[in-house]
Amino acid sequence: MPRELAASRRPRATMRPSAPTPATVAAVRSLARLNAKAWGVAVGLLAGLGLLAATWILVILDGPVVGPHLSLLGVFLPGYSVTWLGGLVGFVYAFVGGYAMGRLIGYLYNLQVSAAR
Amino acid sequence: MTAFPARHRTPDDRIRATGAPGTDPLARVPDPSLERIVTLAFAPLHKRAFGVAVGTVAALALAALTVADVLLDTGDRFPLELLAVYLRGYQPSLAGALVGAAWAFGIGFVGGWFAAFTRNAVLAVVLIVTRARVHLLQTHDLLDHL
Repeated sequence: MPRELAASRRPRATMRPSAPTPATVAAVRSLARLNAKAWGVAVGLLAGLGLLAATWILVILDGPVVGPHLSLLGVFLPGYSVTWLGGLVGFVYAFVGGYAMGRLIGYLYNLQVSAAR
Repeated sequence: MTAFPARHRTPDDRIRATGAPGTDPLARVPDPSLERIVTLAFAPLHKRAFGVAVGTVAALALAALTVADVLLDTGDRFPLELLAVYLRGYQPSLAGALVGAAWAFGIGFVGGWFAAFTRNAVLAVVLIVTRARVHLLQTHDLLDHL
């Protein structure tokens, strides 16, 4: 009965996840990490320049009522208006907000990737 | 085996230093510092992590915007309620902020996941094309040797 004995001593298959293969480990280690500061600057510039362009285009187009909808952003951004100066104020607000969002995205992503490693 | 000079000015110099004629540059292990640079440049994004990060930020942003709209009692009101056209159940209220956050997380997650997927896919295609070009470059003078 040695074969049966050996079979009975063989470890049973369990529901535990199998050990990661070397390829999996290498793949996880090669995951990109984001530069949170760079992401902040990039998103901030995108948001800031976007709002600046939107505002100034409306100012250039002109008309009886300039940017009635965009000017409602002044509810959230005190000092913002659809004017040349208001565009600059909006740029600062949008850059700061975008920077915070980009930085948070980079931070949260890196947090999860670090946990996966 | 190619002997590497102690210092290379640019990554291009390193690539040139590793490329000895008649040998396959893809089969050899290059300069470790070059390998680090290439690994960093072509590192894939973790799709789920990126989706969660973008979704979380989107949810926080919409919730903050809604709460600010509710708390700020000014004459003009930003027409946030128009978002209900796309986000069922959303309204500019504290309860609506939660519904909006859930919607924003879902949309942000899908957007982030897909952005990471697209970025990884494009990167993979670039790698495949580059690799094919290197192979082609190595064998373009094959008939000259026959």
